[in-house]
Amino acid sequence: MDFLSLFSLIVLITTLVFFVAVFLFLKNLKLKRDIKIKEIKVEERSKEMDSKMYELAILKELGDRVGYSLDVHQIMDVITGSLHQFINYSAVSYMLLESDKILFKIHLEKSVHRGFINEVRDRMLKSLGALLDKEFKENQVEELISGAILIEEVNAPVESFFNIPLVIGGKVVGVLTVADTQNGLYKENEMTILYKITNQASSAVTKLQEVVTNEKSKLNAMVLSMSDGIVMTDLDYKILVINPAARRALSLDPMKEVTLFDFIDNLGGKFDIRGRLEESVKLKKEYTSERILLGEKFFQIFVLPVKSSSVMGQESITGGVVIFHDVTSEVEVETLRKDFTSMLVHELRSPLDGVKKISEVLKNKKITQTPESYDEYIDLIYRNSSGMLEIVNDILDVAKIEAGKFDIHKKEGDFIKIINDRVNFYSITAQSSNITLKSFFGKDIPEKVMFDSEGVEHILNNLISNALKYTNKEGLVEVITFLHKEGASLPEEAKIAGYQSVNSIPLDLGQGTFITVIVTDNGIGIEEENIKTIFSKFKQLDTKNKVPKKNGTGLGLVIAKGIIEEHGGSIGVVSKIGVGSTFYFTIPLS
Amino acid sequence: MKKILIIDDDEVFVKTLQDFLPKEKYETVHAKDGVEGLGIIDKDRPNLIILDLLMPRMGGMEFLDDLREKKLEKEIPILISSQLSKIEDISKAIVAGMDIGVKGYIIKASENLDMIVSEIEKTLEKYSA
Repeated sequence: MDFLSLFSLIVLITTLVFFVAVFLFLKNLKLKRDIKIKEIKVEERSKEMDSKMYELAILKELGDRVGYSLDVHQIMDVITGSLHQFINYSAVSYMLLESDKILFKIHLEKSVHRGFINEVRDRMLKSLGALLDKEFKENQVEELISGAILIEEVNAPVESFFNIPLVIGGKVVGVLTVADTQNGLYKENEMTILYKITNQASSAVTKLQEVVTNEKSKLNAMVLSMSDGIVMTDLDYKILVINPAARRALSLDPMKEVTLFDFIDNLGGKFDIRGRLEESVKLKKEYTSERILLGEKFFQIFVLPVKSSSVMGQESITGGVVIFHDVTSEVEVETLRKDFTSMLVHELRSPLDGVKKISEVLKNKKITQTPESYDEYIDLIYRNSSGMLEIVNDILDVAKIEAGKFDIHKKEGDFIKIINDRVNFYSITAQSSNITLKSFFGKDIPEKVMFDSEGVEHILNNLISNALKYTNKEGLVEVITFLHKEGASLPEEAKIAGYQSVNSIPLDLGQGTFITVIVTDNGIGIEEENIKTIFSKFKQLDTKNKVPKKNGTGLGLVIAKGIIEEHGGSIGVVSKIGVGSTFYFTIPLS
Repeated sequence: MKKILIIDDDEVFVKTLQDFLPKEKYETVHAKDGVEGLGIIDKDRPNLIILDLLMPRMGGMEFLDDLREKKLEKEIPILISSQLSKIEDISKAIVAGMDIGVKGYIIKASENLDMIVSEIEKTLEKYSA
């Protein structure tokens, strides 16, 4: 190779190397720049994420703190207290609409002059007015300033201003503002955060309000429908809650607004509601009254303090509640029971006293007795003692029936004979009152029937003697016995056997085949309200009417029912005043 | 001879009282209820009435009302008699009849016949005309 070619080659290679070096260098540069850009981006991203996380954390905390309170002031204070973590400002402030004024609270991060505050206030007032389409005056505003002190020399005006409305439950309740002396501070970022926070607060409060309203209406519905009367008052004895039952108990108008005075008036001094409420509220006392008669009903009245626990867990008395508990039925039962007992006592005491007085006479040597008089006394002793024994036995039987320990002894016997026996026994009594006593028998009554003859005798004695007692002279008492076949019509069968009264026998007295006995009369009849209790030991005692008091314990029918039920049969009565009564009972054939 | 009218449907009480009252001093007449009692007063005025409260047809309270209507010139002393042991129930009748002669009461079950008789005698002594 010659020198020239070698030189050219070297130059070429060197140039090539040079270009490659430059190329590589440039590439490196670009790479470095790209990396830098990426690094910056990553850093930015990471910062953004940090900030977002921080934001979320703060929002969550705000949400937590705000979500349990309906006190808008508290909420606003919480918000304004934590805003400085996101946003720069000289002052953060809020305006809230109250019923009679506008609350303006402004917190200064940095010192400003009076004019700054005034401007913030005026701008907020204007925006509030615009939102609500109203005009608000300066004198409606109540101002509260906190934070850094006012320094008149720091007279920088408002350069940055951002304002957000507060909406709760769909209504504008106020505005939230941040303001600064520096220009251009509130850009998209800051605005977004403010929107987020206030939205969070709004929806939390709105949701809470909904929950409260729901719970309130549930509670309302419950209180409204309660059968006990409820009245709740606050510490000033103003009525907060009153349900229909309370209005009814005190005979108050169902619609009109009532005050405690209406209660005091209608209680008529029977109960010191004001005094008891005061004791309840001031001394935390619970009170239970005796039975008090209001109108036609008896009530037991309870007065209790209303305690409420605040968020801090402290208990405070917020008012009192008065409950009117209707005890009328309990009183009625007790009265019936008392009347029943005193009736029994009376029924026993009379004959007992009679026997005692007879002994007094017979003991007295000074009184001479004729044989007739003597015989009469012996007879009276016998009758009165028998009467008492009967009463005592009846009481025992009823006690056994109630305890479920009443036994009957069924034996095979002649049913028709028992009926005839009893009718004959009472024929003398019937004759003496000029009452016709007849008996009728249907066909196919079995010769032998399983039944408790003593029990059935007892029932017949009771029904026939009652019929005779409650039927006037020239009246008619009939005893009709027949066999009821399964599926047949009872009224028809009764008619065929001889039953003629207008009182209609029930169609259905049970399944199967059974013997039916009807004791019917054309006497004075039984009042409808008395029919309901006629087979019970507690009867409506007839003290108001002038109807003559027919003595007796009235337990006979209770025992009759017990006997029939042990047989598996049924017993009942149909009656009409002035027409007569028809008693019936059934004995099933086993 | 004093005439005592017993208005009561309790035959044992009436008979034993009649036997216990000395026959030399007292003549007793018996009425089963208020209606009969009023009839007897019209015919032959008694010196004392023993009046039961619980009777069929016309009880003691109604009898007192009807007696008031009669507007007797001179009142007849009356003793209320009853099996009721509660003073409140008897006092109602006493208060109701004070203006027409009710002077006291007898509780049948708590008092012996001699106690009853001495009370009758006291009343007759005090209020007889």
